[in-house]
Amino acid sequence: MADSDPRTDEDLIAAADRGDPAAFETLYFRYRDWVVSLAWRFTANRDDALDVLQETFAYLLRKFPGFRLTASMKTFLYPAVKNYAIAARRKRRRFAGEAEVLDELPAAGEPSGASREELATALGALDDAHREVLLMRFVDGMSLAEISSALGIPLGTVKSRLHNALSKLRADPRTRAYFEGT
Amino acid sequence: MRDAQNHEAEDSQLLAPKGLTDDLARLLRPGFTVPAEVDRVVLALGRRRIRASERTRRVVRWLAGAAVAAVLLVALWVGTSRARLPQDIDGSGRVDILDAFTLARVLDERRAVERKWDVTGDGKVDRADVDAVAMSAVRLDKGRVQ
Repeated sequence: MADSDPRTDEDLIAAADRGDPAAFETLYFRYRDWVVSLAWRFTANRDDALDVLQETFAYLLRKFPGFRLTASMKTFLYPAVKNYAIAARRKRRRFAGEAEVLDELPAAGEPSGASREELATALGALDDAHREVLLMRFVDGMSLAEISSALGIPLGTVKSRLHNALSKLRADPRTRAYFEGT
Repeated sequence: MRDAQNHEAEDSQLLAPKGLTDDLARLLRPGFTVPAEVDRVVLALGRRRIRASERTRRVVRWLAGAAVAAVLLVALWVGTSRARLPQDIDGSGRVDILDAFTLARVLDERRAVERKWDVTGDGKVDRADVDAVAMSAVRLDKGRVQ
């Protein structure tokens, strides 16, 4: 759903805090698909991802009245989505780590470079913390500062993990081709 | 200049090729859309919660206003009560025999008197006013703020 509302997230939060349900609706549709994608990435289960979506926005609603957005919405929502998703996976079965989730993701879209399996395998070979920062940066579109805030780690650590992830992908024969010519 | 160049050099190490980022997005995209029923549930919860929180804010604002008004009323009452009671020599909020004793001591010690202690209204503060305060104190409704 296209978001034609020119208001910033802060404006929408303030309007919702003043009692405007339409402002919340705009916020919901603005971040719904990102939240469900993130939840899917953590859970690899459609039902769990949809539950996490609902729980995340219920969590946001519990902040009213009196909620003030002091960071970006993605920074605010990311830890909530992650925690609810981890809880959902634990309920479903013993938590096995994000690398295993990559193996479970059905082919939603076939990559054009490396094959799906090669890319998933290369990602799975990364350290969990490095992979998480890589995906937050290049799939979620979060800035380094937003990643630092969302994960509660120093900016230098974010840069270090991202650098390590990219270096590994550059060296991995399955993904080396992406970097040739760069 | 060197810092800016180092910053740019560092940032270039943190860039990823577009082909990689596009393929990552494709790999990790969920193969389903959010059902309309889920949207309805979340939005209905949102409407209930936002309206309830607005009602809560209205109640809190009303209570805060009522509390301020109550404080102002009490302050006004205390202030005007004291002003209406020239016999309350010691400012205790009650008119009793102690007020007569206090005024008598003030006169005996020739201390400064306040004009409002001229209870008899004869233009001076003297023993007649002490007697008038004592008479007020022994009335049946003595001690109560009038």
